[in-house]
Formats: sequence, C-alpha cells, structure tokens
Amino acid sequence: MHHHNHYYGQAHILARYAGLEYDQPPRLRGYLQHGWNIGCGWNPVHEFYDGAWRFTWSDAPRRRGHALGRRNYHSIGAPFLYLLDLVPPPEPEPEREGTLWFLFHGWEGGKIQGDHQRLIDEIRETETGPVTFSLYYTEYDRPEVRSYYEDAGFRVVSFGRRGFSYEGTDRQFLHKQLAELRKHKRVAANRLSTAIFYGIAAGCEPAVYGDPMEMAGENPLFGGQSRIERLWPELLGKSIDLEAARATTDLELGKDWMMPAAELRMLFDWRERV
Amino acid sequence: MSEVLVVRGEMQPWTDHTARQPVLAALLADVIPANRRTLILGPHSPLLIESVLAHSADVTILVRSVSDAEQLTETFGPCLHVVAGALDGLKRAAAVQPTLFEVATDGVQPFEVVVAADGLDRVLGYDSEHLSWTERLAAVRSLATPDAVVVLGLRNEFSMLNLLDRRPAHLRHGDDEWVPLHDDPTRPVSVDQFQAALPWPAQLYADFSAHTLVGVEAAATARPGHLPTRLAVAALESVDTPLLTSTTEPLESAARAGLLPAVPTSWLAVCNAPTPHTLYTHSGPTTLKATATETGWETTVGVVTPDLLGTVGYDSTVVPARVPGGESVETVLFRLAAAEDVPGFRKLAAALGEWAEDSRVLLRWDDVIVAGDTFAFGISGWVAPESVDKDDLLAAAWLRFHRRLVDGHRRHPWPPWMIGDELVSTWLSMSGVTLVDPTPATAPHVESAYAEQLAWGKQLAAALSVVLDSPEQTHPDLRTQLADADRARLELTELQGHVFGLERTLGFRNKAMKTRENRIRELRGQLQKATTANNKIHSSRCYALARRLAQFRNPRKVAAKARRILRQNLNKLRPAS
Repeated sequence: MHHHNHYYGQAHILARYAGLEYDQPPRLRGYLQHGWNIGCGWNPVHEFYDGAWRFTWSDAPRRRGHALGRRNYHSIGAPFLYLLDLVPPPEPEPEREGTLWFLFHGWEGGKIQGDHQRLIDEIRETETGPVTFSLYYTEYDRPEVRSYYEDAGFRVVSFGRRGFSYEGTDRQFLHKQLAELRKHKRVAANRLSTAIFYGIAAGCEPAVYGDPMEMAGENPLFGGQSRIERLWPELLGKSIDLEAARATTDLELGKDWMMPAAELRMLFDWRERV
Repeated sequence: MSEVLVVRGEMQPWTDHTARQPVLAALLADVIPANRRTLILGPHSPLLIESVLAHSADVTILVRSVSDAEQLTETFGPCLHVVAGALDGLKRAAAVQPTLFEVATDGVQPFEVVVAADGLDRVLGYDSEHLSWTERLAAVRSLATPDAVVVLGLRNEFSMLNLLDRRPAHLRHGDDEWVPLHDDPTRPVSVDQFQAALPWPAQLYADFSAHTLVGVEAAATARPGHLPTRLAVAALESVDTPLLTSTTEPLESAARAGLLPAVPTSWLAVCNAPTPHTLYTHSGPTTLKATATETGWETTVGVVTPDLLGTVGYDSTVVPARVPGGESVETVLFRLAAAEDVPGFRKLAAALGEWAEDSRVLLRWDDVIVAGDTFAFGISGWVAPESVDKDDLLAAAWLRFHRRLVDGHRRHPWPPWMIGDELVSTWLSMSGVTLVDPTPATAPHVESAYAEQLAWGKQLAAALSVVLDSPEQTHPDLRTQLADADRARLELTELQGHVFGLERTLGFRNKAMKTRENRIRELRGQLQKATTANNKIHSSRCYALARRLAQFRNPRKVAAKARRILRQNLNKLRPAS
C-alpha cells in the first residue's frame, strides 16, 4: 500500500467500514484517491507502479486517467461518505450556526500566497453568523498566516496532520472535520475543494468566494481555476442552489459508487488469508 | 423403379457426406406441399429425405455417387427413386427419354417440387460439363414445372466463418472442388443477388451452420442481444473451424449494421410456397419455430417427453408461447461492465434478484429478456428435475455469466484477484443474496469462503454448459490465443508490480520503523541522562537529609520532640541552683 492511502485516516475509515481494525488497516492493493481534484484523482506527477489499481472516489477521475493511458481503475465512493455512515449525526441534531471557512491550502512542497486581509474583509461582509476558520496544518503552523485570522476574531481550528510514511497521521482528521461541519450552517472556501464537497455531504450550505490565492509550483496540466469555472459554475458564488450543489457533490464524491462491506473487502483483497 | 438408375456423370468411388439437419427438416415439413412429384437434388441426409417422403410418395433423388445411391436404395427401398449421376446427365436423360421416370408423363418438366437444400455445388461430377452456377440453376428450372415449389440452398462465400477462416484458400474449400466452384462470377454472394438470380418468387432464410434459419427480413432488423442474433452467435460458436477471431463480436457488429443476413453460412430460398414461420432453431432435443410479431415472437416447439434424469433436462412445456423481442440481460450486463458502470450493473443485478423466484426453469442471463421494467424468460426449455431455490438459480446464472465474460476477454472493471468465486459472490450479493461470513483460510490455496454457497449453482451451471455450449474448440481462434498470451503477460507485469508495491510498502514501513527506532533511541538517551542525574541526587547529603525529613509525618510532633530534647539538653547545661 502506498503511504498516501493513510492520509487523513482514509484507509482506517474503510477498514472499519469493512469490519476490520481501525488502527491497523490492512494493506490496500493499490492507490486510494485522497482528495478531490479536477484531474485523474492524483497530482499530475504522481508515480504509480506497473499494474497498480487505482481506487477513485467517482467515475470522472477514472475517465480522465484512462485518457492519460492509465488503466485498472475502480471507483468506490469517497471514504468520507463511508464515515458519514459510520458516524451518524447525534439525535436530536444540535442547531447549526455560523460558517466553517476553509482557506485554500498548500502542502509540504508549496506555500500559498495571497491577500489574507482582503479575504477577511470579504468574509466579514458576507457571513452574518460566527466564523470558524479552518487552516490546514501547513498554514496553521505559519504564525504569520494564522495570526491574520486569529486577530480578525475568528475561531481558528486545524484538524491535524496527514502524516508521511505512516508517521504522524492524525487518524481522527476526518472525524474532527465532520464534527465541525455538523456544527455549522454554512461551509465556505476560496476555491472549490474537497472540504466544500464534504461540507455539502454533511448538510452545510456551500459558498465559494474570495481571493483564490496562488500556490508556488501549481501544475496547470489539468486546467486550473478556469476549468473549474467551466465545469462547476453551479458551485461558485456566495449563494448557491443547494439542490444543484448536492447533485454535483453526489457525483464528485461518488455516492452511487459506494459498496457494501463484503464487496469492499473483496475489492481491496482484504479477505482473510494464511 | 427400385434399382439405381445411372445417368451420365456419376462418380465412383466417391461419397458425399451429409449432416442430419433437423432444423431444415422441420422447415421442409412446413413448406413442401403434399403429393407432388418431387426431386431431391444432391446429397441430403436420411432425415431430410424422410421429411420429404412424409409428404409425397413420388420422390426421386439424384446423387452423383453410385455408392451413395446404392446405400439410399438399401435404406429406403421402393419408396425412393434413386438416380446416380450428374445434373447435366439427368437433364439430358429427361430430354431424351421423357418417360424415363415413372412420374414423367407430361414432358421434360416432370417435377412439381425440387429440393436442392444442399445447393448446386455437389450436383456435378468430374466427367460433367463445366456448368456455371447460373447454368446449373437453368438446368434445375428446366426440370421443374413453372409453379414448382423449389427449395434451394446457396453457400455464402461472404459468410462470417469464411471471412474469418484462418486457413489459406486452397485448404478452405472442399475436396470436391476440382475447379474452384466458389470462384464463379455468376454465383450470387448476397441476398439481393440471390433473389435476383432466382426465376421464381422466393422467401430467403439466412442459415447459420444448419443450427438456425432466420428469415432475412427478420435478420436484418435484429440487433445484438436480440433472438436471431443470439441464435446466430450460438450457431457459429458451435462450429469447430480454425478462425482468426471469435465470430461473436463481428456477428454483433454485423447485426448492429443490419447486415446479419449478409453473413450466414448459407442461404435457403423457398420459392413458390408460403413460409409459415420466421425462425427455426435447435432447442434441446427438438426444433423450435418462431414467428415474428410486433412485440416479439410467437413460438412453437416440438413436444418431447421431458428428460429429467440428469442434473438438467429438457422440458418443452416450459418454453413460453410468447417471447419479448428485446435485448438479453446478458447483453445489457456486458455493456454496463465494459462501460465500468458498476452502479448501473448493481441496479440491474438487484432488479434481477427481485424478479427471480424458486423454479425448475434454469436462469441464464443470455436467455432472459429485458421487457420494459421487468424481465421475461426466453426460449430455453432447460430445467432441473425439481424446483431449485432462487439463490441457487441466481448463483448458476452468475456463474455462467462469469465464464462468458472472462473467457470472452470482455472488458470489465474488477481486479484480477476477484476473478472466480469472489466476483460471482459479489454479483450474487448485488442480487440480494446474503453471503456467508468469510472464514479465515487454513492453507495457501484453500477454496474460497463462498465455495460451499456456490456449490449447487456450479453443478447446475456445469450441466447447462454441457448441453448448451460447444465442447472445447480443437483450434482456439487466433485472437483468443493472442489475448490469452497478452493476459498472461499482463498478469506477470501486474504480479511484478505487486511485488514492487509490497517491497515499497516494506520500504515505507521500514522507514517508519527507523523513525520510531530513532525516537526510542532518543528517549532511551534521555532516560539514561535522567537516571544518572537521579543517581547523583540520591547520593547527595541533601537527598539523605531530605529523605530523613521526608520521614517526618507530623512536623508538630517532631517540633515538640525536638523542643523537649533541646529543653532537656539546656537543663543539663544549666548550673544547678
């Protein structure tokens, strides 16, 4: 299994869903998509070993990957959807309030650059309720970025690290994210991203607005922001048609592609063996 | 005339082989009018001759082999007038001596029925004139009355089997072609050409390897998965010819193009007679006839005593009288699997699971028809001796589908390690069957956890395959062999990739272990430092004092005691008064 499969505890969630141990998910025979993107499910320069299977959330990355000459795809639905099944909302569901705002994030190899103050001003103009600001650990650990939002009076949270080489992964990352999402009425971000889809799936009203910011080393191979605007205009803006957003989310997270536990075990070669 | 009459052009020693062709016999029984002077032209099997004799007592047969003629005389006795020789010899004899035949009382056109279902290729001998196909047809015409019922076969040089035959031309044709009959410019090679060449009004049938006859109009409208296409595919699959590729895909392409009637093995023209049925085909031990309707097919099947001694048997009473004309479930499932549309596949599998019920009739997705929102049985009459549980029927159907999907090298989205019982179980669970709990394997190559659950289904599927499918081909087609080799290469590559992946995982795990080891080393170093510092503290006077002090549980008592001792000592020092 590639160590990326452990990111955000996705393999752990699937293992639990399949009836196996959460803390020690078995090796998954292939690559598991770990975030939504507009390409084949992985970054443009991701390397795959020969004959590897690629487990995507939905069908669109499979089609795009096929065009890149890649084969051996099987779509399974996003692990976050399985988490929604595993962790049902509390009964009765507490009243939701405010906005959980996600800043477009960098990664270990690329930092974001943009006008944070202007973004804060726009958020203040737009959001009527309290704002919780979620920073990815790469930004959370940069005091010069975090302080902008703390000083603005927002509650600033981070859900943990995704880890590397099986070390330092916060296995509760998605659990924490889901819990926060369920507290909020709205989910917003300055780019259409995984978190927006997760938010919609968790019952939030979405919004995508503000300076999309830039990240050093962004690979424009898949078409970037302008392609997003062409493909998913229904998910951009401060006020979004919820029904259309939910339909697109179901497609992008691959709701129809989810499978029962027994099938998942067979697909991942997680049958019990000697 | 009970002796063999020999006319010019006979062959000896020689024999022409014939096949039984019960399907053709059923058609002849339907179209040949009763009690007419009949000529059977060319070699025909005893079964075909019997079906003609059943309608007429005045039957003459012309075969070119003397030994075949003698055999026929022996078999049929005085019921059949047997002539040995060639067509041109018969024509000449009839012209010279019109009364040669007992029936020939009214001139040189003695026959009211001509059955030349074998075609006009095996009616000349090596001593005959070299007549073209058109000339041979003219000779037939001269022997028949103008309104004669003529049943005439024609081998199709453009047939799918001929096109895909991997042998060179000199090995592809029969040993009776001392001149290449197939290379005759006058010979029709399409439905239109055949129809145009005939001097009589005719209904044409596309003949797929003597297994299925379909009216050419119905064949032209049949699409992949429709009854005529399915039967045509099954017919050609049963032929053991060395091929470049399986005929299934090209036949389905032809059907999609509306060209199914262009590619049968041969055609059969029925002239000057009504044809009551559109389709004739093998169905178990009998023949099934079907007539096209607006919504599908009306079927008639020869009644046979149910054979229910084995695992599966044939019962003609279960064949529906009406069958919808839509696609088979298998066609739709193949399409969904190729498109990697697992949700669509799952939905269809679930609907099939809801539709199926306990029954004697065995489920085959290649003979279950999509009929709007529901499904309907096709023409299969194969049953189990007793009612079978729905789950086992579904298992048998999915096992058969699995074999046809995987062996046919069809595209699908499931990884190689699922192929086999796991994949069948997956589909079975999609159909709503609860799977047994997986149990840990006890040996490396132990049977799958689902083997027991699928056991009865496997027996049913295997028994069905024996009666339905052609035995293993002695000459697997070239494309399949190449695909098998490719699959083996791919499997090797994927296994190498798997090894690489495992090594890589080990690498990652090793890295993680090293990180942890370093952390443990760090912690151990810190522990050693802390222990040294601790020991140092333990050996200090301060620590000893502190320990003593720590023993004081009640400082007030200690203070009182110290005060008392101090006071006593002070009292000792005080001078006595």
